[in-house]
Amino acid sequence: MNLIDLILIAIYVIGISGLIFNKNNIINILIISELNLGTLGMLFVLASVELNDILGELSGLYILTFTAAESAIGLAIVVILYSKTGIINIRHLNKLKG
Amino acid sequence: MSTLGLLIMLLGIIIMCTLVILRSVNPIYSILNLIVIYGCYASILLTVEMEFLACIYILVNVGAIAVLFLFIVMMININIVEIQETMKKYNIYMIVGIIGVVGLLGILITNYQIRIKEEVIADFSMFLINSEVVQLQATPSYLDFYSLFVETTDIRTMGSNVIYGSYSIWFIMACIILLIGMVGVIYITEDLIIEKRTLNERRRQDINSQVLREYKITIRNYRESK
Amino acid sequence: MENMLYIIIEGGLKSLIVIIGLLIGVAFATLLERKVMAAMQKRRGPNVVGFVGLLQPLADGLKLVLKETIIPIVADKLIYAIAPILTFTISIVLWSVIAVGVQSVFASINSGVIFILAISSIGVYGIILAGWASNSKYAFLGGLRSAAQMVSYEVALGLIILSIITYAGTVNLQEIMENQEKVWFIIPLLPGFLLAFISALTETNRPPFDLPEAEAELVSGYNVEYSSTGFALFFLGEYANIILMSVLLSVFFLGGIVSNKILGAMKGVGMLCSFIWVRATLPRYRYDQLMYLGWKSLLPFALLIYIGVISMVLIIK
Repeated sequence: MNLIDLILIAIYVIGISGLIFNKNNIINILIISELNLGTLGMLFVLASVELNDILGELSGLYILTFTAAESAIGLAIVVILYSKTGIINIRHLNKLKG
Repeated sequence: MSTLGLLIMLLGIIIMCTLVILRSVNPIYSILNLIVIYGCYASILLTVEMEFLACIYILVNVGAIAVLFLFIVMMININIVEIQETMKKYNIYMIVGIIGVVGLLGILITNYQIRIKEEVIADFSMFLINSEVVQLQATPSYLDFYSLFVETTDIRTMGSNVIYGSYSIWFIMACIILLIGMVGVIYITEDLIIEKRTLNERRRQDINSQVLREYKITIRNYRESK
Repeated sequence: MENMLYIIIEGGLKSLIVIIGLLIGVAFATLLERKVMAAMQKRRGPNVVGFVGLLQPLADGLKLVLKETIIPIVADKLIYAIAPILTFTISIVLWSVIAVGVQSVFASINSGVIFILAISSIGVYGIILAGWASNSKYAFLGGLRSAAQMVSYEVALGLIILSIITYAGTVNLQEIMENQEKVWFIIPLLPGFLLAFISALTETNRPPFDLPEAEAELVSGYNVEYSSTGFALFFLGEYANIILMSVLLSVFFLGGIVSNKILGAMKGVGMLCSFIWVRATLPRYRYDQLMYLGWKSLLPFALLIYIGVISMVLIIK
């Protein structure tokens, strides 16, 4: 656990705090969660280099896959919300019900 | 310039861009900063000689996901004033909170440093099926993968040993997750597609009825119709 | 320290050679296009400047640079300036991994094909940002169209390239060339070649898929607002991409440049001439037809070819 990992953890924490502050806008929430997942993957990969264990690199690769699926579904929800209500605010998300 | 200096410079760029993402008002700028961050991550991966993973990071994140974000954001009209008001509230708390949490984590991690190497293997074996735990501890746990990367290529090492080899069940699970994502997106936006299709069908040209029209029925004399 | 300086000077000279060669190639590619189209349509083409019009591209370039640079007031100035530079830079960076012969290459990296896929996927940004930043409806529509087109056809091209990688058993471009010394890949993979050719036409926004430039609907696509140097950079990037695509197709399917360099160059020029031939022959597609072709016929065929190649490799090797 060296300086680089520490800085990456700091970036992760900044991203998490951003999730708390930008709680109204769905697009910002999606972007920040994307950033956080990328940072998490980098942490896994760098830990795998440090420990000489290939599992970390593998999980970095799979986090990429899950990120793609997550962002696609989130953007689909944004599009359907905008076409139904005309506003992108997370408080209006309940209008999509049924 | 040494490798460490390069790494610290890249990480500095990443932190600056993260702060810009949090503070920026226009979502397009935050997406562009996200792209810069992914470029920095790919160059960090290049410094530890993982060409394949760096290329895949750029290919998936920059080439596919960020383009999707840009498309959606450009086509949606976003109310900028609303975001500005919520940002003003939290300016001071944000900095103090970040410094505190980072310091706490740093202390925690520097104390935890010594024990991590023995316990990582045991933690990972939790995710596997019980019969495979013995196998894992027997063979691949401390194979020197990094020297294998240098001998052949990292793609060949990862593909033959791990992805299609001992951990192929994770590969299949990733495939299933992607399939679920695809089907889910199509299911969510199904209503929009159906509405558009019915609209198009109403507009479609009906050649049969056009040809079958007769002169006598369609065109009438003005006086007769009165 | 002297060693470091030596490396820097050597790299600079090498990249200078690549860039100058590329610029000369682009200049004469435009002349070749005009001459070949003129021959197909029974005209003469440019023949005034220099001997049979050989200096025409230089005169065109001089004219473009001497014009006035205009930046619209409502444009986002930073992104407006970055977009053409990005397009041109990426089209140059891609040339660093193309091998001219078995040994002479700027950078021989292990995952060359994946590098090309990754960097060419960044090329979309130049177009989409130019369309957005110039803050005009025509440019915006052109940029969106062209980006959607490039993204959707990249899938089919990527699948075909994956099947080539599987058949050759390597990701290095030079090893792919060495694998084709006996049999060119066009013989076992002929349908793949056709699909890759169509996708390459679409990737480079060439006719019959030049929807971003459709003059009847949009004035000139994403580069309406750009004048002198910005337009020249877009133009150079576009033609560099066209030459790159033709060279890549000749590397993947026609054996590339192994021993005889003149023969290898002739393969690339032949592919370039076939690009121009398609432009002179076919009319433009409609937009929904383009999307239908991309997602509903090219993608399933590419998947089918990929599965076929995998089963072929499993049976033979």
